[in-house]
Amino acid sequence: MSIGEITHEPALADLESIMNDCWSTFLSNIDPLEPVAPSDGSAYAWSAAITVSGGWQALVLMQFSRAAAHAVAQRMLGMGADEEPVLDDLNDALGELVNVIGGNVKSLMPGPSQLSLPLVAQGTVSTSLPGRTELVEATSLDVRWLDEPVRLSISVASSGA
Amino acid sequence: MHALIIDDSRTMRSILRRIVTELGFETTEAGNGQEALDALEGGLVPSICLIDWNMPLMDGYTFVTRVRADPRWRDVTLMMVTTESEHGQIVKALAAGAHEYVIKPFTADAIVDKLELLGLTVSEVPA
Repeated sequence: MSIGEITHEPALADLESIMNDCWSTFLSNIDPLEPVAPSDGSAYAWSAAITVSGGWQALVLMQFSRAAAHAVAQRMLGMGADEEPVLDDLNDALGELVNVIGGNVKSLMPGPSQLSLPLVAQGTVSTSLPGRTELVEATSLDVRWLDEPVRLSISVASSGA
Repeated sequence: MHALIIDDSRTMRSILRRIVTELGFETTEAGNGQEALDALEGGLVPSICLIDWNMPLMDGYTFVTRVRADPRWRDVTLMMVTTESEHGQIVKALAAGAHEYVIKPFTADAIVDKLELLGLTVSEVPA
């Protein structure tokens, strides 16, 4: 195996399936996710990440526009559309969403592996894998939900890092 | 009937609470296994505990082993509700005394099916 070669990555179809399952279960079965071309990322205001370590090492990252992040918190917490989620609501809801999606991605990959606790931040999450210095984005899925951008990406440790 | 919902995520507790409340359960919530044990020690007698695996202070697996080791709580039904889906972990939880295992994300129907399998009478599936 050459230095820098990506070891394992989930298929795009698997990411679509996992995201659709999570959305229809926890968020909405009437507002579908619409796959779109990648954007420049400037619309993303919130990030949620979880790392997988063990038999498979990866970073699962979700990014949301402000409106998408607020809608996730409102729906997962059963809030009214006119209720504004506070910081704690956003941290908890986005963290749980990336936890469930990360757990399902992990289940498709070589194991046994462990999930970290989720990290949520306004802007960009800063995290890394234990003992690794280089992450390579392996798969990503850009969607629009409620006409707002959401992105799921999987980065894996390059084998030589 | 009473359900003790044990998850460090307030969001997940909220989702589970909405489902089982629609089914006629009263609910108590705990943010980790130790809080749940404290509730049992305090006299709470739930029909079922819905238990996450990964939690701070005391994880769900430890909670299951602690409950199963105490004869006072032998009639409490234990159901894991978790993202941990590796076969080895499912076997480990069931061997420790969990009755059922639900993997997130779950539908309300999946929770109802499991409760029926466990012999817990439920009213109807929430819309």
